[in-house]
Amino acid sequence: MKHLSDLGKNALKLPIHEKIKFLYQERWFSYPRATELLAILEDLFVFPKVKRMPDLLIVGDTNNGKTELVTRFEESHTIEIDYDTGDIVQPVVYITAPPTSNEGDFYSRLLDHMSVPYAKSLGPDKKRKLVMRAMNLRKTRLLIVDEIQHIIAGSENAQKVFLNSLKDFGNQMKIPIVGAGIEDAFYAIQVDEQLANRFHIEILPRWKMDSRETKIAFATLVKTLESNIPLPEPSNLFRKPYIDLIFYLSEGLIGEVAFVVHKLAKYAIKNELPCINQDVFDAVDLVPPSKRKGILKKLR
Amino acid sequence: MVWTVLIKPFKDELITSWLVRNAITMGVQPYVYAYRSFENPNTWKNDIDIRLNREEIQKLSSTTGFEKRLIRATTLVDQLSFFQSNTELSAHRTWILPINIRNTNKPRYGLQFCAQCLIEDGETPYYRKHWRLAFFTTCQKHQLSLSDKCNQCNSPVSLRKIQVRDDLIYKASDIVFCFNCGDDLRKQVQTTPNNSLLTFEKDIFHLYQNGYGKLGSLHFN
Repeated sequence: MKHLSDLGKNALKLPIHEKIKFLYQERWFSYPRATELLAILEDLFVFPKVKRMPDLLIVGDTNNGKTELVTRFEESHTIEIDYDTGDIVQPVVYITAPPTSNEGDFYSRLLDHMSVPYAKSLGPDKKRKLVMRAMNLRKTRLLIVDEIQHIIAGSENAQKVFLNSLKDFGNQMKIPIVGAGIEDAFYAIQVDEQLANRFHIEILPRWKMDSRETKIAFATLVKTLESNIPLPEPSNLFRKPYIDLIFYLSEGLIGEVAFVVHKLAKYAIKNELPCINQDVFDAVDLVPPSKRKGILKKLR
Repeated sequence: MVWTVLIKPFKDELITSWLVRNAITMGVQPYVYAYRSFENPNTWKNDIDIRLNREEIQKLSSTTGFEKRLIRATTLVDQLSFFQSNTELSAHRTWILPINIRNTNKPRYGLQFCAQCLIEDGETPYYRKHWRLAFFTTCQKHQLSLSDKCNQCNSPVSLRKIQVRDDLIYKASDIVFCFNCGDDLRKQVQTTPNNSLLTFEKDIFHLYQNGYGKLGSLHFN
């Protein structure tokens, strides 16, 4: 039982379908790069209000934990509501960029997220004023825009206009803007020299197994994941040959690691196996992300 | 969808006062706030202080997150039966001062107020429900007459007509300013009514608050 965390131990007593539910619950666990990035976000959060506020772009591949990281940050700065006076303090606002590079849609989304009613026919300028008013009232100190690569949905000119409007918004509000997105977002920012200058870049890299440190780090990750799998016997997924298999199947993406480990665990739990072993790996259908396009060939 | 920015209504607050206070704090026009909250642009076109049906209350409860009971208590729908029998037979509501809804030709002085009450409210002034009733012309708390218009421009108190400008920041307490000229409505000289009027209205007030009581030689229960 030493391989299990307290939560994992408790989950052993649950019936099968409850165990599976527990398996798929969202849990945050820390790892070194996440801790670094959260500290960087915290620095931005307490940054004094100056004329040129710093902005940040967190770049990472899909399914590598960007959204989990920034939502974790938002959750750690909770919104406070006083129902008697109607005062609200919302220190961090998190939105996902709408799939257009249209200013109006962007502000609409902000208003919807902040639950401020507005007339749908309102122009982007008026919406912007409403957003600024709401953020001022709520003493917002940071804005997080996830999937920021969506703004490159338009022409090069539309991107430039929108990004500049975003930068200007941050300037007027005197709050830092944190964008999170995939590589495309990085290139979109490079379009304008001033923007490229303003948005500092932080990478959320894929996990590697190319040195002693990285191997230990990856093994620690898998071990932590395993500690929450309610199986009675240790599977030792962090040891060879499993660790190499998992690394191959996940291609270093933390989301994929979790996906693989949980899929194996689900099989083992459903079939009431004591732990995950080679048979489970053989039985479960697993394909690394880059090879998934090939699945369609099976159709023909 | 719940609006998270909301001030709770006071116990004896009028629903229009409550909704307008919320709207202006957010910098949103009252009618926009209303049609987004009721999810129906037509609700605001009625006098919601006295007419609010079950569906509308339900809708408002789900968008504001406050209980239906609380919302219903901000309207006069429950108290109407105390002084009007058979409310189902007619759409007319007796004893309610009419306010301007669509017709703005003739000013209707539908909402009275006690300036002293508003002053004493301090940072959070609000309009009481019973200030719309025709048989109250005095404030029981302060023993003064109620006013019903702006001292400066003689306009009635029209909360529904307040326009929010996007270049100004509003507080909920801004409902004490005249919608027309911006003057402070609390700058009123309130006269002292005579004793028999005060006593008469005191009995009616008791009747209104409790639903039972006596009025002269009549007993109500």
